[in-house]
Parts: sequence; C-alpha cells; structure tokens
Amino acid sequence: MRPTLPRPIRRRRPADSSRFAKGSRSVAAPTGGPVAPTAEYVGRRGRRVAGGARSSSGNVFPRRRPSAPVRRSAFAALIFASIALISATYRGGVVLHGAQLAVLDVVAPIERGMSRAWDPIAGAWNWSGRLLHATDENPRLKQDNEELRAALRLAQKDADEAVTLRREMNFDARYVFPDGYEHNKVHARVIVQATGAAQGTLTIDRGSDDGIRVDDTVMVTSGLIGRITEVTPSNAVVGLITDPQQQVGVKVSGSEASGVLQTTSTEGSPAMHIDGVKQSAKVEKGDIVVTGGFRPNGRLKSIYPEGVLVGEVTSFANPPAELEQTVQVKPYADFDRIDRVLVLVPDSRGGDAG
Amino acid sequence: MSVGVRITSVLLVLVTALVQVSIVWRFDVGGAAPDLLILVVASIALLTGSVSGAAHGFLAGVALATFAALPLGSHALVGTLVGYTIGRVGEALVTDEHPVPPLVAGVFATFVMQMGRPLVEFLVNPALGRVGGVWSQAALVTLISSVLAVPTYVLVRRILVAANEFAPVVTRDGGEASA
Repeated sequence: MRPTLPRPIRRRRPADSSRFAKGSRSVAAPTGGPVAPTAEYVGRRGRRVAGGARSSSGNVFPRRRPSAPVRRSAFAALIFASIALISATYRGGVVLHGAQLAVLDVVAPIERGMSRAWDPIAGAWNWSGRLLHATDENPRLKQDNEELRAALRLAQKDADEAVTLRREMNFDARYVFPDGYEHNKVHARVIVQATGAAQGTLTIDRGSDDGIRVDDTVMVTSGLIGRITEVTPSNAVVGLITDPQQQVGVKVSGSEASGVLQTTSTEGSPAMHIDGVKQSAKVEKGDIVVTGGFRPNGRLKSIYPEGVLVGEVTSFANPPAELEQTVQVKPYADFDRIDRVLVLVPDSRGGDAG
Repeated sequence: MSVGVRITSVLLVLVTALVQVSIVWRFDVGGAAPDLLILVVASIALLTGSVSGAAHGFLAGVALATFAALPLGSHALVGTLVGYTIGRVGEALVTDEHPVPPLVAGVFATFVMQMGRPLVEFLVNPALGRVGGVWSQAALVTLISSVLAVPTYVLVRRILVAANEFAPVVTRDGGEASA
C-alpha cells in the first residue's frame, strides 16, 4: 500500500482564461495552466521569453523559497532595524528626526498637490457621509434636546426655589416683625392660586397642624398679601387684600395719615387707595404704607398686627372741597407671582413654627 | 524576481504611501479611512515571498511614518511582521489566481496593523499610546479592507507582471526568463 502524500492544490482552468494574467502583455505566450519550462514564445518587443507567463508552479512569480538561514537573517535584521527606529525615535534621536524632516520637506509639495487635487472629491464624499449620518442622528438629537430641556426646566425650578429660600432666610434675619410675632412664623408653599371668578384666594400647604388659624396674617418677603380665611389640618386658604371684600386698616409711616386700604381694580397690577385720610395729614409720594393695627370701623385692635409692610404712596390728591385726601398706593407684593408665603402666628399661641 | 519587479514594487509602495497620506486618509468611511498601503504590502508579499514581503512591509512603515511625520518604527515593525507572515503563506501556495488568499491576506494584514501598531506604541510609551476604541476602529477598517483587498491584489499583480516583462531575468543560455 502506497503512502498518501499531501497534494498541492491545483484548479483546472480552461486555456487562456486567466483572469489575473489577462491584462499582462506577456500573455502572448501560451497561457492557462502550468507551462513547461522549455516552452518559448516571442514576448513584447520581440524578446524570446523562456518559461512563458507563468512558472511551472502555476504562479506568475515562482516562489523560490529562500534558505531558512537567509530568510531568518533577513527577517531578524528588519525586526532589529524596526526596534532600533522605535528606540531612536522615543529617545529623541536628532539625526533621525532631521532626516525625517528632510524627506518630508521634499515630499510635502507632492502631498500638497495631491491633496488639493482630491479636495473636491474628498469633500463631496465626506459631505455625503455626514449628511447620511446627520439624517440618522437627527431623531436622537431631538430626543436628547427634549430631555435636556426637561432637565433644564427642573434645574431652573430648583434654582428659583433656592433663591426664594435664601431670600426668605435673609428676610427672616433682616425683617423687623411686629411685636408678638417674632418667633412663630410658618413658611408655606402655594399649591393653588385661584384666578378669574375666585380671584383673591390662595391655598397653601400648611394648616392647623402647623399652628395656623383663621385670620392669621399672611405675607411674602416684599409685603402683606392677606389673611387666612379657612383652615384645615394640612392646608389653609388665604384671602388676598386685592379682594374688594377685604379691608385693611393702614397708616402712612412717619405721618399721621391713616385709613382703610381699598382695592380699586384687579385688572393687571392691582390699583389700591386709602380711604379716610384726613386733609390735614401730610402725605408724600413714595411714603411707606404699613398696617395700622386697628379695625376700619373703630379703634379696636385689627386682625393684622401693626407695622407690616403693605406698599408705597404713588400719588395723592387734596381737593379743597373734600374732607378727605385721595391717596393711591402700589402694593409691594407681586400678586401675579406668589409661590411661597409666610404666615405670622402670634407668639402667644405657641405651636410649631415652620 | 526580476530587477524590474523589485524596482516597481518599491516604487509602488512609496507611491501608495504618498497616496495614503495625501488622499486616502481624507476619505471618511463611517469614521475610519481605508488602509490601502497595507493591502499593497500584503499583495506584494503574497506574490513575491517572505523576505521580499518583510522588506516591503518595513519600507512601507518607514515611508508612511516619514510622509505623515509620525513616530518611526512602530509601523515598520508591524509591517515587517505582516509582510513576512503573508509571504510565508504565499511561498506555500501553488497558485496565486484564487481570490481567497488575497482576501484573507488583506483582512489579516489590516487587522494586525490596526491592532498591532497601537499595541506597540502603548508598550513603548503607555502615556502616548492610544488603546481606547482600537477594537471598533480595527473592525471597521478591516471591513473596508475586505472590500478592497481583491481589487488591490489584482491591480498590484498586473503592475508587477507588466514590470516583469519590461525587465525579464536573463537566463544562462542567453534566453530571458519571466521571473
């Protein structure tokens, strides 16, 4: 039994059907499949070419295997040269770098010329690629944009709240609260602000559990806004002073002028005036108006403590035929934007201040 | 291998290195650029053998680094390894007309170059070496090369066959051999 030897891979090829040799000018010789080394043909320029276009091995270039020592030596030399180049480069070889730059100087104009020649094509290619990429990217970017907007809104809300809280803290430290109201202050957040027909009320997130009772004074950091009209254990309703039903006894600070604060109009910024200011009282534009601590119908104690900021005098009229002056007041509080309020709880009641 | 083939193959590597630096690198294909030079080296190695392949790989690495002002050595080292390995395979093959060897050689050469060069640079200087994203980059460039490998091989083969005809080897009996 003969031993089986590994056979070289040979593929049957029809004559003159070599795809790769088709373009060769030496194919004038008989091609297709191995050609006997003795075959001769007249090549280009009339040369006699021995061996034809392909070698007996079936390859265009015969693979004469170099001897192992030669092959290994050459390979080792090239590897060594590469490592030497790496070493020299990373150790800052000046000569090598200089040589590299010198060569670069020579080829740079060629590179520039080739680069410029291909600029329009490369530009068009990259532009179309970016366009396709942009089409795919657009929905994702839109979604990212929405998410970022939402995050920004949350961050803005947090920032506003931080500013408000900081202002309240500063306000608590700076503001001189009325006597008997220095200690029990309840900070609350507005959860409902009624508009339209029910305009004139707010609902806050604190109630009787926090020590709040009906008629407690409610203010913002800029001034008085109203009083508690209804209360539940966890919520309370604030009646605003912009409600024409509300009457607040006020006085002009530093003056004898006093009267009842009335809301003239709630369209836009509320317009207010003080009724009952005597002709003899001296009033100036810009005077500060505060709560008077008395009831409008007499000199009984008011539900509002004395000295809470209300607003300032914007104008006044002193008609000779009238017994009373007309004093216009602009409230300090911005009734369009009330987010947090401060409920003044009398110290005498005790309870837990928020 | 005739003198004409040797000269032509060296010129081919140098010109391809210039084209690679000046033109091919400017084509963005999904965030990567084809590596035409290593495909040419793989083709030459497959056609001419291990020693020649290693030499052309070395030359290609030096030329690319020089033309692009890159650190010398790492391209040359990986190019030498790639050229030698593919050349050894080419020496063992009986026919070079089948499209599979050039395809496999091109894919192998590209992948080894894309992975090997950052690895060498990282080993030499971890601070400068860039290894992040090498896998994805190598995969993409290799994919592109798989498309270009066979056409590149066909072109290189035609050029070298033509060069071989212009300067054939003179045989002892006064005739001329094609290789």
